[in-house]
Amino acid sequence: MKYPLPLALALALISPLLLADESHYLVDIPQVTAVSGSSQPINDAAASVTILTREIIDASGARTIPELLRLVPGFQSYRVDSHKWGVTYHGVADDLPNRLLFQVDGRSVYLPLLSTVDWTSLGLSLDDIDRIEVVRGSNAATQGSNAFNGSVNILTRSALKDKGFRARTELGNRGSRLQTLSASDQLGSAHLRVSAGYQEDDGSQDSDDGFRDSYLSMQLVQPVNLRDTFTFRAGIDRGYIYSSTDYGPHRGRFLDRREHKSHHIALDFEHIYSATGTLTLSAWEQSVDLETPAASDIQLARFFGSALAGEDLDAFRRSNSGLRSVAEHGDSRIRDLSLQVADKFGPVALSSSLGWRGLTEKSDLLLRDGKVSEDQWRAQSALEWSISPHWTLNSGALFEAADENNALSLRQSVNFKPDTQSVIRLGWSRSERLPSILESNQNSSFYLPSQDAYLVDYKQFESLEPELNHTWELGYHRRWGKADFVDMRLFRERISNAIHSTRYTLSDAERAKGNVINQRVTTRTNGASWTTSGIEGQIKLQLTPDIYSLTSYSYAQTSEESGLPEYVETPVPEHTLSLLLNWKINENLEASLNHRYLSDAEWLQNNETYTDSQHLTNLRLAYRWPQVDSGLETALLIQGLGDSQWHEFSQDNSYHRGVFLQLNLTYP
Amino acid sequence: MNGTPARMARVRPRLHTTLLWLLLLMPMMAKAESPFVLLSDSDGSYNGMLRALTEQHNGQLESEVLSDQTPSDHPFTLAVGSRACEAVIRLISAENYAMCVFLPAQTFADLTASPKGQRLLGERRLSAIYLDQPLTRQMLLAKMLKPRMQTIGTVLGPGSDRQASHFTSAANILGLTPLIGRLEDSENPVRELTPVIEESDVFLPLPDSSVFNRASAKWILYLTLRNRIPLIGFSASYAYAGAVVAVHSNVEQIAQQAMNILNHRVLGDALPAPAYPDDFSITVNETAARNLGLTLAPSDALVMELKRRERTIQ
Repeated sequence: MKYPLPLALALALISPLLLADESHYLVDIPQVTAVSGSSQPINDAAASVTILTREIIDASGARTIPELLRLVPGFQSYRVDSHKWGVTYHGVADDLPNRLLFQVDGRSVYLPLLSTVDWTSLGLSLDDIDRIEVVRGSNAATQGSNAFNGSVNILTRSALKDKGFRARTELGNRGSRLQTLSASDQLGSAHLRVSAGYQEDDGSQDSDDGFRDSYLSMQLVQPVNLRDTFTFRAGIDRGYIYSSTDYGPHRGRFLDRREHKSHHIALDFEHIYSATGTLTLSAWEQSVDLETPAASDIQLARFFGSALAGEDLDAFRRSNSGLRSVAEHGDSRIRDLSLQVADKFGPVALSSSLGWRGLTEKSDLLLRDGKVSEDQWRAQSALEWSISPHWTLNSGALFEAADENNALSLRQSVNFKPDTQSVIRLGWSRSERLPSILESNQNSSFYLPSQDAYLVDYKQFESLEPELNHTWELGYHRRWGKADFVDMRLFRERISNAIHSTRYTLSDAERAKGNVINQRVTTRTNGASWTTSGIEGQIKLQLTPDIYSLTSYSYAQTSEESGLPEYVETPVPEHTLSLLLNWKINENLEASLNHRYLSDAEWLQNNETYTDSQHLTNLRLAYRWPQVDSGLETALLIQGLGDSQWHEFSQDNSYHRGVFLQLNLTYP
Repeated sequence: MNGTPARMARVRPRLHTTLLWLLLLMPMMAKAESPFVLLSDSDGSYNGMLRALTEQHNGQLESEVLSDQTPSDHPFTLAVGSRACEAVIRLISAENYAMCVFLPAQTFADLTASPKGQRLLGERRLSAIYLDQPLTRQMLLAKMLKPRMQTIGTVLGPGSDRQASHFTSAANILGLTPLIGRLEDSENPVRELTPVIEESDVFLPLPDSSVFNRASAKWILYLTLRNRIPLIGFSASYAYAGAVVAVHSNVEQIAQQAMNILNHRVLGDALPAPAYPDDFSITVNETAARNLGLTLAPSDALVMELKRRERTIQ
């Protein structure tokens, strides 16, 4: 017998009774990972992901973000000066590494003017960070511009999650002082978090390259109704560092003060338009103003040498405003607007965005015309298809269009989950990096009035093309117990068309045309290539109920090198190891030991920028005072527990043991 | 016909034995009816339920996905999901039986509110195994997390407003004071949720429409964490997102219960009363528990203890 009423069935399909059907139980609750810290999404991730949680950040004994990133497999971070850091993934970098995307709460802090990140003007302290999410490898490519080798997103504490006050005071050797204060509260239906900090020290004892920094930042989260939320962030940062003018054997003698002023404002609007869909509109602006002093007569003589013979220095100065011994001078302003839609259609989750970024870079030293502006457009899409409970397919694409170049990045991976705890991932990606404004437009030319000619130090003669990274990877991630996990990645990265500096000999015609007196100038070209292969991994183990370890290791080797400087034999350090041990001795006392090993490292700056293999150990002892209900902690931090002296970036760049005493107060 | 009586004498005991076996096997043969499975949709969750039912049945099951075409009639239909259940209730013929699975208790109550639904229930020709958990089970779990708790809070959206009395009754049974907030789509979630969460010892969100669940979850998760209030989720997804624990039944557990009923039922027997799942799982979010300073037993131990407490209260 057939049912007689197909109409009844149609009615059943639209019955208002079904407003509360089973789909409401099956809806995906958005992962608020700031709350859960859950590693569950990692199993579906398209790439190897490392999350540095607040717990790890506290235990690490790190005082800066680059130091923290040493806990990430395959990452190398090094002090170029006491407060100027380079951070790279799989080496092949100089003093200004440029192949990673760094974001703070989703806002890119990559500085196109310097083609790198300025770590001192970010407007935050370690205490403001909730966690750091790192995507290793070029599968991060579709996350945004410059995510060529990976991406790092620094997520600050949320005004929604935080409550009350936090204060930290720290004193240490070499005049080190740090004070931070933050407060979070609910104001009506809004949540506000304000954070401020001040920090200074005298730098390393060999260089006296001290610094000072102060910042103020705020975050306001205002829900309009259940589905619509505004989040506003703003911050300012002021301070200075001392930056080297020379990386040679006498580098410590040649330093200049570099002042920074930065600000950022960001507004996000989030609208939940359906049970599965979210629309996010983001707008932000940030500005970094770097100021270095005019070069002294001695510095001019040292830099220009015989070229200034017979030149009236006053006239030379009047003709060239950009005479500075530290090149990191200029003003960078970025505005960004993006619209993102994320939705789920059955087993397929789709996220797409359109974005515009306006860059305005000014520098009288780096850009001969003083100012370069560029508009960049981007379209991004990522798809996650859960084919079955065991198989997930991830695809992604990012198209970027700039004034001179376009870039297309693609990624594809398939995840196999043999059980709910583990995943095996095979991934392929093709990532393109657009040349930065500095790379495309650098022109450091100096007018010699007495000769009515130019001395060209650095000039870009040819148009640069995007760099290309082809990567294959095999990943394995497994978690067990309460928070134990292992994460392995076998990789082969082929980087080609890489931009590198080279010496260019001007023809007589070119010299005559540009009225140039010198023959050889430095320029950039697409011509370097190399392949990096290796294996890396991270394992977290709860050894006893009171002791856990976090070990990160990377083994990498390069081959098929071309276009890299001749003095560099191992552009990628072969071994990078970090071991963190944390022991909760009793209810109130905690000890952590963080050991790092880096094998021989050679950097691309010049033949003096290398370090021999070395070990560095940090120890942190923290005592929580049980008499203070709200939360008072005293901590002793020793950096360089074993060897009291070590080198970074070059053998002439020495750092010495640091001892710091911290007092942390939380209320309530 | 020579020798026939002797042969008959030899055959008769065998015949008797065979008939005896046939008589003994009759109930089993009678209960070996194969249910027809009607799915609300063809997406992953319903197919997962069908897979689990097939596994428990130890053989292929005839199935159909609800569509514009009328489904065929069967002596026993297993309706998977609310829409399939509603279709079956509307269309079931007088002599047939049906069991609805994979739908919330409230939805089943709504679907059977009609005279026909009530008649089917009264004749015990219709039954159900719900997807959700009894409120007392969730509140008992809350008391396991926080034995000294006195208040339990929740927030009701436009679709869950009718659950207020159930929530109050369950809380009263366990000696708890219910705190019930109400939230509309157009209202500010912080303003409405904060007073309830601040006064609650444990917070227990109730499922509403999907979009309400999704939009409210973010605020519930943040505000409970901010106020250090343990949160009990109604799905594993809630625990992954940040609830300290979530009690839920998976498709295997529901399928096992359904097929148990079917396998032990003699053809024509009345069906048992609709019921919540007997078996359930507890998902623990270790990070969320640690943030609140809660030390929880492993999931299996929590399940055993909760079952023990349920038996006690019954």
